Amino acid sequence: MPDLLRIEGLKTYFEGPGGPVRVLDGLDLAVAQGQILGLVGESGSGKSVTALSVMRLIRPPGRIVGGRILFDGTDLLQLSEVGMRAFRGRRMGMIFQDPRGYLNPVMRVGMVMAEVFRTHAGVGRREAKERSLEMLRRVGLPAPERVLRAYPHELSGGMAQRVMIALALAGEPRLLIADEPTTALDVTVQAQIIRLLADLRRDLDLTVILITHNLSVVAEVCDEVAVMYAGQVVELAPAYQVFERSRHPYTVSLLRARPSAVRSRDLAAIPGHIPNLRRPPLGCRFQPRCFMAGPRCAAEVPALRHLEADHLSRCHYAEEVGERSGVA
Amino acid sequence: MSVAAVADVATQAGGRVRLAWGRLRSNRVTLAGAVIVALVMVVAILAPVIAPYPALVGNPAAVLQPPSLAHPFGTDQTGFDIFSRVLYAARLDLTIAVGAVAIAFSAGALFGALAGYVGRLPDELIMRVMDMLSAFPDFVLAMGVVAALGPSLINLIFAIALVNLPIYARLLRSRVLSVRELQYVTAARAIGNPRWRILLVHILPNSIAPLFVQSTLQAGYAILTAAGLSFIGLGIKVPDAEWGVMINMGIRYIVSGQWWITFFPGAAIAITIMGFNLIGDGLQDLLDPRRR
Repeated sequence: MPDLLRIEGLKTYFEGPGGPVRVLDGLDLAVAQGQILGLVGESGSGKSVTALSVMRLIRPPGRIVGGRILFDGTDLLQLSEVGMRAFRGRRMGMIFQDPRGYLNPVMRVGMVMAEVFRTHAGVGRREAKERSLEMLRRVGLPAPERVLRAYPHELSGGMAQRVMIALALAGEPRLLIADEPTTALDVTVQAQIIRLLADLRRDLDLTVILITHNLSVVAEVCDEVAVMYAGQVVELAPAYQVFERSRHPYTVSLLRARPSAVRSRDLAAIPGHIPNLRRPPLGCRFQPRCFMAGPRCAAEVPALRHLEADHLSRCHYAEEVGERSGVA
Repeated sequence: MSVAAVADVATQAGGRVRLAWGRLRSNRVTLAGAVIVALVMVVAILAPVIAPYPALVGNPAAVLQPPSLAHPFGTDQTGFDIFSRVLYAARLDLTIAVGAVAIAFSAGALFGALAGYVGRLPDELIMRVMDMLSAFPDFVLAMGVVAALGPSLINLIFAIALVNLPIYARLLRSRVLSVRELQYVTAARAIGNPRWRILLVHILPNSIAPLFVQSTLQAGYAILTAAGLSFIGLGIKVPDAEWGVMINMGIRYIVSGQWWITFFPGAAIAITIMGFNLIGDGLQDLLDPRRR
């Protein structure tokens, strides 16, 4: 499968009084057509900024300062704002963490949905309503007529997220970016939404980037996983490989920090904090917190390199991660 | 739509009206303001019907008479009936208030929205001009404008609108600046809406409410400014029925004891402004999220 989205060396900086904060600093990523890519990492690792950068929705003081974002071969960073509009909604849609906050409080759901259909499909009022109802049914909302008349505050969190999904998919995009779509929802609803995303991917041939810090969600639906740390991808591999044969110490630490219902053990928190992105550590960015760090790690920046055809890691000692972590 | 759905919509609409009415009634101060302003409006519309005498025809046989049954507010030096003229004057004063506020609101909102949404150079240009406007004392600026353009109803309205313009522009700009960073605006952009639609459909409806509160207050001040300008001879001309003009016409008779010529138009100004201010205060409370 060819890559639908390919990010090369993406740099997104936020200007601040003490110099730019390098939130994304040379991010590389690729998603093949039809895949679900899980993007995981601690808070502050740059997951959401990655999503917003791809949509070109970064607001000042943030700025994309370098790199390429290739969508089906088109470099989005070369497009004008007007050119970009043809991509937003029509080729790529986005859903967010707090669905109710992302719906205009003074507009009924029906008005927002009609707006999208009339913008993208250029259809009339009646047709837009028909399509809205169809789309709401598609995302599993019972009584869609009622939902169309509702204001956002009258919806439950799960319903609002389904509405957001319907809105994002109204323009029939090929790529859906889901930024922590379940974090603000009840556990039972979380599972439903994740299953809905998986179904929609299958039925609509969507490509999905699923941003989450919930590793169980990743294990359940993702084909590929990209692990982010301090503005860079440190490991990129098929999901089962990331879980079974991690090739980066940060991934190993993340997996250890996950609570388990089967084995009772203390959670292994990762010592230290995400580094100051104004002055990132020399060498490997994870080295100050790494259980494997050696002298080479502080001196030399590791590259994101292929271990196997589909397994990339940004660690000097990637080959030894398995034995030294005692995981597999 | 099914019968149940229609009924559902009907109750929803009814519920909203009832909710608004309930809120208004529970806030007696606002209600009082609304009643006062409504009364003034009714008086303005019905002035020819309820006024016992015409506004601009004096009775030389009844000059400077104190309030009586025939002339409830007395008469002035030309034999004009003060009561009738106070009623007629509501027309001019409300026209000025509504006209000035409507112009200042629309133009101020336009400038404020542009400044806040577009930013950069347009923002700087618009806001520095607004700074220049507000650097003058309000009354002095209005005086200067009317003096330059010549006293007339249209120029008076324009001058008062100009004085009020910066308030609206600043208010909306600051609202737009905060609303445009909200999540649903990001979502609207992510869906691929053009910029103008994001401004008109998503940002403005969520930013405009404070301007309505401001308008009720400004309407009161507009009447005060109009009366003030007419009083000093700029704006509405003697002997037209306008509260400020009437006070001007009676000013020489205060010392000699004919207080009614100035008192009743003055009271009309005070009551009308109070009505507008009470509405404004009430609206402010209603829109204050902490009091919800």
